[in-house]
Amino acid sequence: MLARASTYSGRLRRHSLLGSSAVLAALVLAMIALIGPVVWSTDPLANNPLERLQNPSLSHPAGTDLYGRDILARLLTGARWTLLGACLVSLTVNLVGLAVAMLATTGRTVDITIGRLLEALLAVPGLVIALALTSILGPSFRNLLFALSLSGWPWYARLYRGVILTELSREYIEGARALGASRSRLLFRHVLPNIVGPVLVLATANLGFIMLNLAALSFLGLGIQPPTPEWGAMVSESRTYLQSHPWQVIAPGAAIMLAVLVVNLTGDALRDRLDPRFRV
Amino acid sequence: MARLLIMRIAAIIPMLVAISVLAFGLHSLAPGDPARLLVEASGLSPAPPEAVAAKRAELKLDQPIATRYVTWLAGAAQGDLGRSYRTYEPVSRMYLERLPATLALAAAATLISATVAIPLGIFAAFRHGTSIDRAAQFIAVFGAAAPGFWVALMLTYLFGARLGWLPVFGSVTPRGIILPALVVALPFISILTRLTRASALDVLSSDFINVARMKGLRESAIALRHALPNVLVQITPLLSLELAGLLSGAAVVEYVFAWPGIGRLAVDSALLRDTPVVVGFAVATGIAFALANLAADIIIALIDPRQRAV
Repeated sequence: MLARASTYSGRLRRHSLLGSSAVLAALVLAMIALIGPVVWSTDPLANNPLERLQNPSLSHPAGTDLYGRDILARLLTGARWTLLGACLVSLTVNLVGLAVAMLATTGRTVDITIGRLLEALLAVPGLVIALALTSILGPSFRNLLFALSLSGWPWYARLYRGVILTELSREYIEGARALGASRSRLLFRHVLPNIVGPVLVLATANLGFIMLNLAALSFLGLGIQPPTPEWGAMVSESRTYLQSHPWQVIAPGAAIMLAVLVVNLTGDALRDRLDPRFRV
Repeated sequence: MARLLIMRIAAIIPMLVAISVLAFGLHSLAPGDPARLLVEASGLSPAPPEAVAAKRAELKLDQPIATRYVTWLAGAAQGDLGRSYRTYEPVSRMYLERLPATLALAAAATLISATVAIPLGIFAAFRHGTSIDRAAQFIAVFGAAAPGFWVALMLTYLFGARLGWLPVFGSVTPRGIILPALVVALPFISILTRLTRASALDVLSSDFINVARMKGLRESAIALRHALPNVLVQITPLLSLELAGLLSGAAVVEYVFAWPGIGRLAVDSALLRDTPVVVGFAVATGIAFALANLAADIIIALIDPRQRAV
């Protein structure tokens, strides 16, 4: 029994160690996007025909691409577009989703209407709507962010509706209601502060998903236009050279995977810390 | 059972209505004059004004938007989703022609993810906290983080170019389907492993499992006869929702592997701004989602006697 207990605490410690390193890595990632291009100040757009398609070296730690541009500089600048873009989309879909969910919980008719609407909107996958929207509006980074936001919020609204309803069924809400608190007071003063944890967890856990969709649509050429570096677009640009210069494709793809991995692990760590109810 | 079936079928009608509104809305958002684009696609370029006017009348473009929607819906209900701006081919025929390739890919991907993820998830739950459990979680974490288009490129490089084991591009053969199906399956292996593990952990802590243990049943019998059916009941509804996502996820993978399915058609059309075809993809995935939902309800009713009473 004692041995069991000790392995359990060991597991817990290992868990929190992984969690802390994930959070640390996420901070490093944010720092890279913020000050990376300042520290490594090589111009990501400067062509250099004499130094095309080089493997990593001292002067170009991540090599050069087909126009002789420094890949490290492009990765660092690309981090800003990918991460900032995904964060913007995440902020929009979470806020809209939360607002709609709160609206839905204010009355029975409005709840049924919104519920039906969400169910229907969720029938077509977000990526498909985003694909159609970017195609119709024309490929640009702004339109891509708009398309991802517009197609993404129903999923969050449905999720948050459930979170709010669970919270509304708690005893302290019953108490506040008995004291004569109005519906809006219940929602804003009591429910909202108490669901910050789960909302933060869900938002972080799904940021990685947004990053992947953003990169995929950019890869298809429906996002940012060349020569501006973005990770998905970088993979697309270099795929012609996959056979002869695989490193060109490996570097930006690995950057996407690492970033998503860090974000997902941070989401898991936050969930373990803030919200044991959602532990899977 | 019949009543349940009727109720479930009735439940997808509002879903189909919403899909039609969405599709029509996307259509209306698109810039350019549909009548002119269609006449030009039919081979008359530059488009004669009288042909454009006739097309305009046929599509009821000068009517109020509600009339246009009803006209569009009446056509869509009969399988008429308009014609391509590029080839003037009927959109529904283009999708039906390419559907088998995508269905084959989806079936192979489902097979791969189920055979890998369900045993892995259940095994991980039985050996909770051991290295097998950690390996399962590791796979789940990596599968969720890997961008499909990039994994696809890496696999074509490794297996196609380096080792030369498997065909890489657009080969609709049993050998050619392995790589694309593997990439499509990857995120589902991740989700399914997580779900199965969580669900199995939940089931393993219930009383009937304790009873089975006390009867002295072997672990394998507990896993197969007692845990597995209950886990399947829990994961089937979630799995069906993921299946429609499989179609959209497959679009990017089909594009990379030049797989002649509906996803690649949608991506190609999106890049060339062929709106009727792109919108057709939204309709196709929406219907697939509604049908997957229905199928899940029926499967659950079949494997779980408790649900039949509802």
